[in-house]
Amino acid sequence: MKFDDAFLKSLESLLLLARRLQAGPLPGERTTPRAGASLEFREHRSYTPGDDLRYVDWNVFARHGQLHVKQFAAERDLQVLVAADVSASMGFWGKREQALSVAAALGYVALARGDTLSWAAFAERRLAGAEGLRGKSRAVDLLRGLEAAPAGAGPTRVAAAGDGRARGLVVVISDFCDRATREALRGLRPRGGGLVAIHVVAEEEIRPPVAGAVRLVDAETGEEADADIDEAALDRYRAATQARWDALAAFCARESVPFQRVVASTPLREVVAALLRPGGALSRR
Amino acid sequence: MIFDRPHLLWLLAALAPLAAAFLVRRRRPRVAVPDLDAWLAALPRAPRRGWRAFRDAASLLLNLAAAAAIALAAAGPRSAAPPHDDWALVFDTSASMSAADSRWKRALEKADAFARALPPGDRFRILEAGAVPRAIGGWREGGEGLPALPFPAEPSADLAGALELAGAARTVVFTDHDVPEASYLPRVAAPADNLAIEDLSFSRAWASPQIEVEARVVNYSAAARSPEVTFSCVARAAVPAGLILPGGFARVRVTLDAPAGGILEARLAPGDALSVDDAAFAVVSPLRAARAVVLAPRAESPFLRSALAALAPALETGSGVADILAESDALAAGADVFFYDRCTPSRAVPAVLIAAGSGPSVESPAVTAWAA
Repeated sequence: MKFDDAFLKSLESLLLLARRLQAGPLPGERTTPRAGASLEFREHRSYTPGDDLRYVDWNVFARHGQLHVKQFAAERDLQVLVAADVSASMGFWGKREQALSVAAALGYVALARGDTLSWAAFAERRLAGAEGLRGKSRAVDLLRGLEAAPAGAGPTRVAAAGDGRARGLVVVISDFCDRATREALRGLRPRGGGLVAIHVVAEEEIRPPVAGAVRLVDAETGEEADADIDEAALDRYRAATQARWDALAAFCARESVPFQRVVASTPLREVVAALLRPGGALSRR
Repeated sequence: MIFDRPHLLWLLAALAPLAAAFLVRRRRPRVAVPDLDAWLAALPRAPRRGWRAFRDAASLLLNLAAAAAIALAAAGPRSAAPPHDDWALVFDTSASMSAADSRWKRALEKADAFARALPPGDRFRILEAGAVPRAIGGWREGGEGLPALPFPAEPSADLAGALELAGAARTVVFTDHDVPEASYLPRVAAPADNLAIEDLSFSRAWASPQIEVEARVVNYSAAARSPEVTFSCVARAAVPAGLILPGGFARVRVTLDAPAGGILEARLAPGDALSVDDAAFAVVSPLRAARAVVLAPRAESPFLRSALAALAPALETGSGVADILAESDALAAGADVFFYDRCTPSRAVPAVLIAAGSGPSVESPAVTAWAA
């Protein structure tokens, strides 16, 4: 997978979209009370009751009649981990590409916001990643790293997305084809931080292009099973898959894990918008 | 194991395409899926791969075994027992084998013991080496006894022809002669010392009650012999043949009274082991008057008739004209003598011929009258 210049430009537009959609803290986001001469102005945000009046930009108020406070780089101290699943099950129908694109987009937004970004590509274990990226200038490193992530390597182990470090926000982008997904998600939730689960699926997983007498082979385990697939079998498969997906969503809801299902064929802009708009998994609360 | 039709073993080559077709037919297209558990939850419980693989393998092996069995059966297998032999027992059935020293009986006993001692799987058949070699019956299994055989009385034994008739079979020859080519030769006897009467003849003079008899005796033995020949035709007479050297012969003559004719017998004494040629026989006609046919181009010559009348009562005369149909016709009428008076016969006459003078040739005699 290659992230070209067009993709980079699209990230910029996504950044603007993100800024427009996100007016509050992200899940797990903390503001630092520290201030100093080296504070770097980052952006304005709407005034909310309780904000320090010293940071109100009176010039903007005079111009627009609306209260806005200045945001400084040092104010943000969000440790963000974006982990993308690159296991073998993700190698079907564009799921891996979508996961890496979403990881790139979210990472770019985090870098642009001044967050400290870590990213990881995982399967049965962590296969690639980087720690402590700050500033948009590190976006290239992010994209090149995601490009180089190995493809289709081994089974899914969701627990491999994390590394045990303290994070403010952990975003796991995966198809969650792991029987231990629930235990893994519980383990990935950072202490005092937030966990977001982005479920990547494909339309072909509901409408699989297979029929007749076939030998099914699990892409991750190599296990085989002969099957005579007819319409009735397809209906049962669809129902079982949908039930599994719904169960995952229900679990995340019970565990207060923001959950978003992303179809692999959905354009990235729509995906990011869905994530960041109110009600999305990454929307401010 | 050996095969009667080994060329049909090529049918085993059909096993390869049979196995290939089986495997191709059983092969399902492989489809990779991201999560097999989602399918297993939806599909009916399929046979475990291990059992299915065993079942498929067992079915393939059974099919291959059946095809192999069919091919092997078509090739006609037989147990590879120790190689068996085919035997030809050749019997010399010439007359010498009938010698009174029981050589023929000994030959049969030896052959019977040989046949019964053959191992299972061996076969034998009987070949008669007479004047014309032939097989007697078909193949018989080793351990069986001999079939019935003809008594040896052939004039000769073609042993070479009998060996050729045996073909590839191993041969056993029962003979009293030397055989130049044989795989096995049990001699049952040596050539017998044999004297044989090879010829017996007689003649009767005109109106004579006696016959002159002559026998030719040959000595086939290895030693000189002095046999005696006994002639009999009602009357009997024993005549010594004198010393006959090995390979030599003697003519023994005697005069016998035989006016009434009868069976003439000549018999050697003493007889020898080969008795079949120790006697000879002939038939002697009774005495009768001779019939004469006189042939003349013209009326008969009274002189010739008078001369012939002087031969009475032994001579009957008749006369005929010149047109002779055939001398054989006259002989059929019982003529013993032809008189050609001043003419000549058209061809040779198988009777006594008396020709007086020369004259035209006469073809067909016709008897006009018989006169005593």
